[in-house]
Amino acid sequence: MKSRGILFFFLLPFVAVLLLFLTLSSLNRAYIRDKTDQLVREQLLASATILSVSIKHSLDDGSGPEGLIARYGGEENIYYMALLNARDDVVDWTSRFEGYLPFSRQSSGIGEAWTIDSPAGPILNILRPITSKKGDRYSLYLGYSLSGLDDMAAHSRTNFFLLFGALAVVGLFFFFGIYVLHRNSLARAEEAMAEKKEKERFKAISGFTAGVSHEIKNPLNSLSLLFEYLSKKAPGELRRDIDLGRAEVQKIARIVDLFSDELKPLVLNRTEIRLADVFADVRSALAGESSAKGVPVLYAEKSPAVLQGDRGLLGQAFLNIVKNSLEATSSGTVQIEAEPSGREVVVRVADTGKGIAPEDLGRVFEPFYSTKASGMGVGLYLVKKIVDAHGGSIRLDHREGGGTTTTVVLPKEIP
Amino acid sequence: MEPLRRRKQIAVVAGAIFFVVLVPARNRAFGQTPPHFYNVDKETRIEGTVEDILMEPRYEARAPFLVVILEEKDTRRRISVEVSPAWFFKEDIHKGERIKVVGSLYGSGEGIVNLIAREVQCRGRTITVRDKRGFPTWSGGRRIRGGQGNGA
Repeated sequence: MKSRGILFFFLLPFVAVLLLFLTLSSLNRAYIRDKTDQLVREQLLASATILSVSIKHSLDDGSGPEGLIARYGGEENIYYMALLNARDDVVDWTSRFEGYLPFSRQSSGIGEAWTIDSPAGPILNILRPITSKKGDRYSLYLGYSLSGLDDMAAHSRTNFFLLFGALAVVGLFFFFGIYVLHRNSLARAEEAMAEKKEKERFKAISGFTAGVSHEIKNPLNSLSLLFEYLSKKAPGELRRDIDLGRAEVQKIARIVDLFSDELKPLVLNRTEIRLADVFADVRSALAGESSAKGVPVLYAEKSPAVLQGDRGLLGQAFLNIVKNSLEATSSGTVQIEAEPSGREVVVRVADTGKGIAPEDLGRVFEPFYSTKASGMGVGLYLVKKIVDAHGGSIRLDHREGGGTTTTVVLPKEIP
Repeated sequence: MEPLRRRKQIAVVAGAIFFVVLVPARNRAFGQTPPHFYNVDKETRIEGTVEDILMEPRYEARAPFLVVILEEKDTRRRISVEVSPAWFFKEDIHKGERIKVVGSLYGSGEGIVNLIAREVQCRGRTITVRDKRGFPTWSGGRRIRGGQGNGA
């Protein structure tokens, strides 16, 4: 599955779940709101009934309608309260807001309870008929604040959106994490696939080269024997040329052997190696070339660099690296630094040579690729093969001011 | 005896003042004006010239109100317009200025008609002091609640 595909594979169901949650939660909140609203209305209607009964008793006891409201008013959630006579004239009233009594003969006919909106929130209006013992008819008009319900709904809405937002953010992070993990895993799989293809290609080349080597070496051996025979039988003036030809044939045979050997899979002979000893051998092997060019090969290590590996192969690898650096440097030095770092050893070979062109940096480890006119392109390929076999890595970098730094990182213990 | 009679006379006068002035005022339940509220059924629109500008206490334990005395353009009636608490009304109104008022009539007496304003239009501007049901704009929204007032 492609990265984009996996993103949608996870993201779309998550978005769908979020939408479902949003819908169900909204329906649930609406249901709770309706039920609460209904309960509150019932409570307020009951409260209005109690008030109207109390006022009726006061009227029955002989109290006049004026001043009654002040006696019964004062409840915090009652915004306004009025006593109306039979002609719907306001006889007595009180309000929490100056002059605010939204009673209207047009709206009072719609039923015993109705809701109006106001800047102070919704108000439940109740009109209750009262008939005194003397037969006088009144109506009690009440305005109950429903802003508590609105506040509750607003609070619930805020909490919901906070929860929804938190879920969305956490979910998005979670799925983005999965997406990134999958993408990385996909990239690793692609790398593994590329490596596998490379190995198959290498195997094919190896098989082909082994076959070619075999086919070439047989006639070369015959030729070599023929040259040997001719050298014994030929007159003295021809013998030198025959020996030269024999040497060239043997040279071709060695080259063929070299190809065959380098294309064989490596088998490591593990021992504990001190890099100082390895580089002592390398410097010794290159001492002649180094002194002839006047380019010293210097070695330094901050602390003893010791690791597990095949001494012969690593010696060959480092010899190739230092030799390349020495060949590329006409003046200056080749500086080698070995530095243990945690569970690894880092080796840097820095020269002051002509450097490597950026377009060649990515190809120098390919087999049979060389920037040198006389090179066969197997040196650095072999180096990489040896380093890979030790579970390490190699990198070439162009140095500021000229030259190349080759960095080899090797594990202290082969995985 | 003369001082005693004089004291009696003073007590009688004081008593009369108490019963004639203070008791009815108390019966009006702290209202400095006769019982009044914004009656949406009595909403009207008037236009007139400002005769006087007053600041009067109108509701119990509330700041004084801006009251504008108008002479109505057509009828020449004198109308006392209760606008809003004086601190709330920021516009300048001057005597002799012509203004339009939408408000609710609530009674008349002593040759003057009373009106609670909802909208005041002066110098091309409309200032809304109450909503269509008479809710006072200065009382703020749902989070700002007025204290206990007594309109009766």
